[in-house]
Amino acid sequence: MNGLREDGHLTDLALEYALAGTPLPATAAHLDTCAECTARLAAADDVALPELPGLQMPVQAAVVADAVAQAPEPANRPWVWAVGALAAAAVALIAVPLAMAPQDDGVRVKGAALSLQVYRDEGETSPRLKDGDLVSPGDRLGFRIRNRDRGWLMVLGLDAADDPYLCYPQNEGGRAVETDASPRPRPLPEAIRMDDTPGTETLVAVLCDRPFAFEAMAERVRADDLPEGCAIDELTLEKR
Amino acid sequence: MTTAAPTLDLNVLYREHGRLVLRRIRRFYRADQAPDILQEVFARAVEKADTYRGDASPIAWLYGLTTHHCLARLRDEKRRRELLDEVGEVPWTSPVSPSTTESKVFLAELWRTVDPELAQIGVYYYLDGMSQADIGELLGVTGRTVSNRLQQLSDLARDAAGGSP
Repeated sequence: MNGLREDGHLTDLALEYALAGTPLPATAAHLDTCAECTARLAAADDVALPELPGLQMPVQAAVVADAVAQAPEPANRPWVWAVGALAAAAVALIAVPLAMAPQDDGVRVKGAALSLQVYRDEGETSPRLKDGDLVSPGDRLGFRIRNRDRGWLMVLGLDAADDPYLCYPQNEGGRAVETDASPRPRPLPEAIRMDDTPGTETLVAVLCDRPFAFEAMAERVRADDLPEGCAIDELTLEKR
Repeated sequence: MTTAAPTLDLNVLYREHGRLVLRRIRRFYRADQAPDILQEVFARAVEKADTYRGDASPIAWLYGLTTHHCLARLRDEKRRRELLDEVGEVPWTSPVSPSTTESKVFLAELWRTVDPELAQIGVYYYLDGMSQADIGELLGVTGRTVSNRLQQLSDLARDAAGGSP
């Protein structure tokens, strides 16, 4: 099997062989040089496997190790939620100081410049949200980021009216925060809480090779016109 | 390619390849629909275990099984829909370009009206962008058979589009 499409990129099936650690021979060289396919690979690797009812413990153990951030004690949760919300027009944001060690969830960076993971705090557990997942008013969401290169990082949101709001960092005067490369997902020390306006919420992580500010970047994101030297990853949620 | 155990262990299969199945399902269904279909596919895998070659990687087998199941399920839905009208692109796929009239006709309507094997070939070719040789290898038929079937599909698409060549 060749595994390459007419345009030279990997077929979805070839991508699966690569993810399994057994790339088809004809695709290995392409993967070494194609940013698009390595990004696809990283995005595919981000897919979380749900528990399959009826299967026994080995599956559940794999699920937890692979994708879901869970911990039995609140002190070990990926983030600690502050009491009291800072109400905002679209979303209530909660700045949360953290004292925690990063958890190893077994995910590796395979080439994507930036990956955003979003988790919902449900008390004892913090399940990871997927694109299109439903959230509710009052839900508290935390973030994990992995980035191949160091740079300036920001997480922003776009509500159903396409109005931007800042998620992270909250205390830098609207400027992106300088961050080191992180080959494994690391939690951000701030979180947001959903307000009661229904509709689509898009959460966007942006990493650039130079400093930038919220207002300017929000405009570029809304216009789908990312500046050169920036990477982006986003997740869309439906709030009801 | 990896070497699989000669028999299917559902736990192992799910643990090692469940995400493959999930990703393939997401090519056809929304994220909120995918977990239920994931269960269906693995139930189907148990039923079809005799079609799995024990000395081969289960990747291609599961990929084909999932594609077949999703197409059959979509075909059975009462509501008419285009093949991808509620899904769009998922982050780990990239559009196969360019979009031809044939591919548009196939994805819009034709996939539902042709026999399941032909629909599967059409999906691999028009949606996944696989080569005829790769399709043949995946389905266990010759490249010539795939070529003939694609010609048949192309003729049907032209007819559906109004007969223009």
